[in-house]
Amino acid sequence: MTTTTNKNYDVLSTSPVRKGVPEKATGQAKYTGDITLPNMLYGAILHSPLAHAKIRNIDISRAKNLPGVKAVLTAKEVSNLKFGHSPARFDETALAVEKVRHVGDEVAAVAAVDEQTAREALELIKVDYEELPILLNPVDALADNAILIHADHPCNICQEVHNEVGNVEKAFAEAFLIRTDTFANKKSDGACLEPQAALANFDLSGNLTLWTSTQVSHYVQRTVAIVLQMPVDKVRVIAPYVGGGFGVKASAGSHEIIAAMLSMNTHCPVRLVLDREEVFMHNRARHQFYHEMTMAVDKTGKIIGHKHLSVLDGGAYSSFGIATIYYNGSLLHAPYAIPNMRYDAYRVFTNKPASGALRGHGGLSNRACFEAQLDMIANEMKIDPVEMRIKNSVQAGDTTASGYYLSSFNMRECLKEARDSSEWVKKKNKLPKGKGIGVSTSYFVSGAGASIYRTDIPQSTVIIKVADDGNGVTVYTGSNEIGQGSDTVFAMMTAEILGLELDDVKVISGDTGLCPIDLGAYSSRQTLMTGNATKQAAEAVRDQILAKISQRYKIPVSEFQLRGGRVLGTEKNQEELSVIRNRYMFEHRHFTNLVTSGPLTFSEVARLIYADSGSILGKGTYRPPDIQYSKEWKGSVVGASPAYSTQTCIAEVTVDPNTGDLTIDHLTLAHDCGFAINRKSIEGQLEGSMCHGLSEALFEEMIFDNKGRQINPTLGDYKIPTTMDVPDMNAIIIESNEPNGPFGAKEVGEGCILPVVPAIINAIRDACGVVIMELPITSEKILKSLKAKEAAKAEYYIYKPPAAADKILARAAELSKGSSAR
Amino acid sequence: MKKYIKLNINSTEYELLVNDNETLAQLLRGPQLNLTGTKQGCELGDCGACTVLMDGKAVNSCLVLAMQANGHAITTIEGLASNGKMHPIQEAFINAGAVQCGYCTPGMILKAKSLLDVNPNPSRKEIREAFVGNLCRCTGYFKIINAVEIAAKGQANKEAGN
Amino acid sequence: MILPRFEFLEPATFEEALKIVEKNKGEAVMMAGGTDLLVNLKRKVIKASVVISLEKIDSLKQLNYSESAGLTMGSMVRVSELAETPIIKQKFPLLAIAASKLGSPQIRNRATVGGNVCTARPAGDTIGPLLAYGAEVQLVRGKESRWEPLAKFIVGPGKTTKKEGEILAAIKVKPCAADTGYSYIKYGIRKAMEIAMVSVTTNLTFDGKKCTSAAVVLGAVGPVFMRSGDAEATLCTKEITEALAEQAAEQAGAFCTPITDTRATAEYRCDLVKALTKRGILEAAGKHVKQSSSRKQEQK
Repeated sequence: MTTTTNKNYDVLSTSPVRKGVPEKATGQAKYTGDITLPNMLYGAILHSPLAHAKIRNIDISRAKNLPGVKAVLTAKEVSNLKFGHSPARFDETALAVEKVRHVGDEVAAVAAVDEQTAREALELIKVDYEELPILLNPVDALADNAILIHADHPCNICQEVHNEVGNVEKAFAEAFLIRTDTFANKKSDGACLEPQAALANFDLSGNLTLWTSTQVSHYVQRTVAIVLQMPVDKVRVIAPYVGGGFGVKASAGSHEIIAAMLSMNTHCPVRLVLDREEVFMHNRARHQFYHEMTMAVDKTGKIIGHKHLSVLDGGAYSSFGIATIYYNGSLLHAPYAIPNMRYDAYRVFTNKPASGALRGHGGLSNRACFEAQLDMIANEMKIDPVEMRIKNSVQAGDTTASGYYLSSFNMRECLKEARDSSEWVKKKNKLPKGKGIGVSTSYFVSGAGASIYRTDIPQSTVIIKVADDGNGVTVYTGSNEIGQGSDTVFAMMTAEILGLELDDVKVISGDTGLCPIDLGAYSSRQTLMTGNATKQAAEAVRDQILAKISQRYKIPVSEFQLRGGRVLGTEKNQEELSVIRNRYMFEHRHFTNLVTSGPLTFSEVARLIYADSGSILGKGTYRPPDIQYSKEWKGSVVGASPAYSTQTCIAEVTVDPNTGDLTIDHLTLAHDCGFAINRKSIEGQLEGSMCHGLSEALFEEMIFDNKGRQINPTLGDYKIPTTMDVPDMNAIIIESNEPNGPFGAKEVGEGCILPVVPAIINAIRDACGVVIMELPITSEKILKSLKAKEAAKAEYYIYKPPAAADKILARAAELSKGSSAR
Repeated sequence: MKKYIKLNINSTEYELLVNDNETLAQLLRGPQLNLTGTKQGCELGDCGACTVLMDGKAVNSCLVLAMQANGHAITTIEGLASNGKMHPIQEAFINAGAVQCGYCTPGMILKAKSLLDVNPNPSRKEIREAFVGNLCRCTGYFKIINAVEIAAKGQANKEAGN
Repeated sequence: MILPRFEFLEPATFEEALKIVEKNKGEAVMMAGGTDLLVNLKRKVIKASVVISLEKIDSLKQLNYSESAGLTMGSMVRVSELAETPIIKQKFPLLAIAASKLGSPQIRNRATVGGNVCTARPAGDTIGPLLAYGAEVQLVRGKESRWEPLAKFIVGPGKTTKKEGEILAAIKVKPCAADTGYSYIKYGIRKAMEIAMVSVTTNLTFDGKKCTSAAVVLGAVGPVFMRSGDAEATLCTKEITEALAEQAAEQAGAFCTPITDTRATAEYRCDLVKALTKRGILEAAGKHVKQSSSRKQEQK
């Protein structure tokens, strides 16, 4: 089901087979772990078994003497320069220096002739640890006398934020109804099917080539260069086929640097593939959040004030966390118009793997809390939940309280389409007992307006080179294809502008040695940002072709058009056409597939330019325009984007009153992606998001024992949905015309996960009157709530996060007392 | 210890030297064969990315020792296309948009083959049941189930002479 | 994740296997389908320097049924075979249903009934039905062979009476009464690919409308599978009604002794036992009614 804007395009807005897909379906596609080089060694990393300890001594002598071992490295042997995600918080080293901060911290590394030997060598490394107190939750970490995980961060506070716009207390004083609720999710993992892998080759000329499963070739290149003290240009990062990322591969990891170090040390290529347990140890996925939200509405149901207190359990390092804590506040500024808002939050270090970014970064847990609360208020006020959302919605042309300008925003259309196609009106309050329907909306950025390190360079540069004989073009972009289909999007844009077939366009991406800089696949930025640069580059090629033909024909450029592989308009002067064609045919006289009639081809005209001045190159760059954000709302630059997507999810569920068993019967998701470039890919993103959201709602939780060891580090015990858990789904594409997007396009990959969790929560409430405010939603929590509801003879029961969450929030409230938010 | 085994891989006979503790997945992906279309996602039988067919039946090649493949016929994703023409299941996956990152795809396609070989016309429910051992993080399975349906219909049409 | 080094032995006959097992006492582990063992070796939960595979022994893959003797399965019969073999589906439907819920098709194509039994997990899928059918297991060492009821063979989580050097050769199930109703319910976090959080196997035998004997076997709610004697007694010699099912279910819930772990609390598991036992009994009774009415129609 879709709505379409009527535009006359040949390639755009279709559903072509994606680039690279035949290769993937036949096994020809090489992922990092599939690549071997001559003389290649196998790397392996020794991880800390302890969550917090001083390293007294490391004895590597036995490992070194094992036949087949070529290198054993510890912090003593390698660069200890710090790196991380946010430049202001570089707090990681490739190998642990003096202490380890979580189970899995990298302590030593080995390169050997085969994987077996490498892994066996790890067992021969003897590390003498002095155990330190372990801090596994924010309340322990925030205690006054707590040991410091990082010496330079008092109270183990990685970052705190205090923001206010408007006047929340005044709004609360004037409110008709005020509600306070708490909510918590669990630390989750990306669970990409492809584990992280890196293959490093340090050659005799001092160049390092690093094949790696990454979302961000550029940041990896830069980080590796910083740590290894190499000129950036000496480091070439190549992302081959990548088996999913979802955020966990969106910054440089120790394993990439370690692979490079091992290669430099052994002068051999070294391949290092993490096993699944190590993937969990590396983690960098969604934080565990704690929220306390207070919402005030007036008597019509309009939200007039909102207060949000939050704690983020960050794990052992900063990773993406600085961005996360700001997103956690600013991703609540739409899709509703809320004039008065306050946000106080702490990101806290604990002795667990570092949390980072995951699909819908910083917007999932807070959204779930907000939307569940909004639904409860709607219910109390007897306002239909869909109407409640329409009533409060912002729309295109509005500016949010954080100062974000919404240049396109079809939220109401999303709501209405989802409502109608799911037959909401027929179902809401009319389903049999045990069945329920729930709705939620959300919004997301279409690319982070600011880059991760402070720089004025364009976020994307794209170069398009026309084949020397004119038959097709190649797009060079440093952006990253990770399975989301970005290469195809850029190829479609290029083909459209140059009037070529999609097959005429090749894309080379994610290779810093060949491609100009692009910041990569995170914050759902590539379609808009890389897309804009691609469009510009393709237009630059188009303009050269048109200028050339206009010059030859001595008639204006506007008389010509590129379409169907031809330069339309060239048939107007048959004489000139023949001269050009004959020349091309003469040059290519041994080829059998030449065009002999009709307007000149793209190739024939391109060849004219090539004959004059060699290769035809088109360059495009993209730098976000001056993006609006409120100077009043500190850190609102995180969350400021050239465009914002919006989406609505409607979930239908069945609850078994005897067991609490939950079945998701159907999901509908309507998403405003601006102009739809590749329709099938968009559907794929929506369907994938529904499944991913269902997964976080129902299953996902990294569970740790009291020593900080994860007890479920397998895909058997850390659950993601199987085919039996996911229902049939309806993906609805809602289009708008985004002025800042190429052809009006904006993001689709991340925002659409956000409304899924709260839609499920709200559907469960509709089905059986219980509101589960702690993820994952297990059947046990539902049954417990049903019993409690019955015991209290209440209409509703709210399953709250455990008392520990209250303690954490209370401590945060205590710490934030008197903090200035202005 | 190493031993020689004889096995048939994608209709070719091989005699290969394997280690006692080598899995079939390692053997296929290793230097002797380099059939890296078989992926490893968990190495514990949880994800199904390493699914291959052993005598026509789907197995997790991470949980079969190479030595146990001695004397058996193995089909990997590389063996599905013939004479440069893709298998209809591969075509269905490609055209249905069932492939995103592609890491689960070889296992999915081989699982589909093993299903359609014994049940040429499965219901959506039967497809769901057959694929519980193949995890996918990208697609939400919707288009994968569609692809299997399309492949089944395609085969049925072919047999009907359409 | 790679396997540690070990020596891999594949005896071709049962006799050879017995010798090899005897010779490698203390060092070796036996491998059936390997779907559990290889995982445990990779994760270093189990260590062994010798792995003895029984896969090449054809005599262990036999599956025989006769109306008089019932079903005899070699220990190396694959779980997928249990799920798909017509005679099992027809005569021992619980076994076929439970087998079809074990892991994934890929796992079932390797896993064996003997392996599932010897692993002796409190959640093992084939164990509940085998107990409900009163299965016996045959253990052989050298020239000695003994038969033991499965209920006695499994003594704890992962623990059996299998002695060093013994091989589980066969599993025998007596022929079933003609007039039965049955149900196997497996409950897990996901709807598939699960190790049961609770499983309830119900097998009822009828004489007309009256239940004459009952097996209610609870999985994953104690150190071993548990038969709820009280619940079974409640059902016997009576017509199954919802009230009776409820009463039996309460008894089952009171009888089980689950633990609390990360997947569920003991309390919830008891709740599940109650709910699923009731559902199981009613399902079983319902199946019986359906079958007897279809039998009647056939007679007409």
